[in-house]
Amino acid sequence: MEEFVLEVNGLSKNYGKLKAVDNLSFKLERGEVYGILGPNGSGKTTTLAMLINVVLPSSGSFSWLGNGAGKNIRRKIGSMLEKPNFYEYLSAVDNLKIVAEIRGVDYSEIDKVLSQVGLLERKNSKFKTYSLGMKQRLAIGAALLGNPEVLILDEPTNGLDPEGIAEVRRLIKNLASDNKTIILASHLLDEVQKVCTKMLVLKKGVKIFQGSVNGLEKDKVIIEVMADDMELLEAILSKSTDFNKFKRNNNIIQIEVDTNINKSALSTYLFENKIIVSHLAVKQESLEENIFELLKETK
Amino acid sequence: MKSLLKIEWIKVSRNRIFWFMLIIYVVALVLAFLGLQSMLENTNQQIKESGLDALPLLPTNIYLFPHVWHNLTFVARFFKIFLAVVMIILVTNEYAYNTMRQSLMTGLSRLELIKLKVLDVVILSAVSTVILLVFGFVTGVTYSSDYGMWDMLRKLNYVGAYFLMLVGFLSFAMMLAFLVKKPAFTIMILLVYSYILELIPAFKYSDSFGEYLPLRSMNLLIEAPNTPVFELLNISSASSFIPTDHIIVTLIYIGVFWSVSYLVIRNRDL
Repeated sequence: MEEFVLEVNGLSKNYGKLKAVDNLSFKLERGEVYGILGPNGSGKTTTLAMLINVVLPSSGSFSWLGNGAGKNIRRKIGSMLEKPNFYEYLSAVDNLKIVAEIRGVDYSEIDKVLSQVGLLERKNSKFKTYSLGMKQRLAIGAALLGNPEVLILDEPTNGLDPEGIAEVRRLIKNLASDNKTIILASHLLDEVQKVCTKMLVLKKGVKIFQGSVNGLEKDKVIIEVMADDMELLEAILSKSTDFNKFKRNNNIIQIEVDTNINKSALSTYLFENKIIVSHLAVKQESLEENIFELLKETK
Repeated sequence: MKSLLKIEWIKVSRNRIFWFMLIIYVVALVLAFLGLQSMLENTNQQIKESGLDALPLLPTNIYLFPHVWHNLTFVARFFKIFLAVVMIILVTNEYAYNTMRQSLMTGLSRLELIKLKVLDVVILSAVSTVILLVFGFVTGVTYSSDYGMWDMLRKLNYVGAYFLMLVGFLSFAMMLAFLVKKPAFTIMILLVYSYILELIPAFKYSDSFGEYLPLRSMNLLIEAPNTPVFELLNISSASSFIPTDHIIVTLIYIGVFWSVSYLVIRNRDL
């Protein structure tokens, strides 16, 4: 089995002068839950739409499951994009029958996915009578039909009430433990943090970060130090190799350290240099601050 | 192919507007078939009452084999615009509900999206043709007194031409709908093109390319039957055969309409 579920090479989409997606390249590994994070208009939906052949790329290429981008591949990928698109006058069951016909899935699967997304009781109601949350859940149900290896969910909790949001997140976690690869686009950091193992941050169509959700959180640790003699502290820190990235704020110094460096290493180093520390605290930056910083940096 | 048929059937079978419009079309068509007879009889009655012996009585034997096929297909020709509206709705619905996007996501190819609608074109044309066949056989058997197998079948080629004409016209409507996306606008363009735009060059250049313009060429598959009825209605062109060049030209146009529809969908973000 190939290691990468998806390989993207230099994917771009231009709308006139606007570069909605700009030379995007990445690889996604099997069995992970990827979050694609970015503010509104950062190119998340356009990227996903290109990956499922709905929007035509201006340039670049991609390959699913090591096997190109044809329709047979798409049948192994369950996806929902932006707002749900179904026939208003058809019931949930009839809408899913169309999906089942396209994917070559038995009609008996329909009730299963409808109960998975909590729509079984309303399965014979017309789509137009559904609330936004129910429409959204039907779209997720359609994506699940045929038990695809890969799931693409674009803002899946949009329009759901808090209970519905919790349900969908639980569903995603269950699917993830089933060894499915899930790609979830969201502008909500909190959502990505709760559901995903890895993430990709987009800004104005450019990838500005890819890595594990935990990794980003722990990549940078800030240690705050105070000492009686701040000038000496500053001088000593400047000479060191591990602690030379710092900011001084009056009588407090914030040092940026790698996660693998122990904070006692700092106190040992300072002690060896005869500095008496009056305050030493580890301040882990939150994911949110990190992302915020990332988005700012690329301005 | 079977699965594509099933998909279209699920969509269409519960689409009330579709059935409503199709029934209106069928009723209008059948009423026209029936009404022609009484219209002619009525006119004859007036001629008799007026005492103007110079005027010839109109033939009322329009349902006789084999001429019934030519007569009915010529009348039905004028109703194809209603069927085209049904076709336009079927295509523009997909844009309105954004369901072509859903179908693509689910796993259809862009070519299959076109195939679905070509199926609609062929099936709608077939439905209309079958109605005409049934009506023709029933009235033919009822009104003709002395006929053989050959009389029944002799002008059945008009029914074939009628089917071809419908496929051509509905394919044209389908292509417009794929291009334009909006139902009202598409219908408007179809009407203006059919009844105004194409007629001008069609008549102005009737000696050269005029008669090979798309709709003109299709219509020339079934020209007015050579009977006094149509002469009286001031329809001068009359024929008793189906011109081969127009069959070929119509087939070419059908190919063009399908290809253009595919190119539109292949190159468009959905």
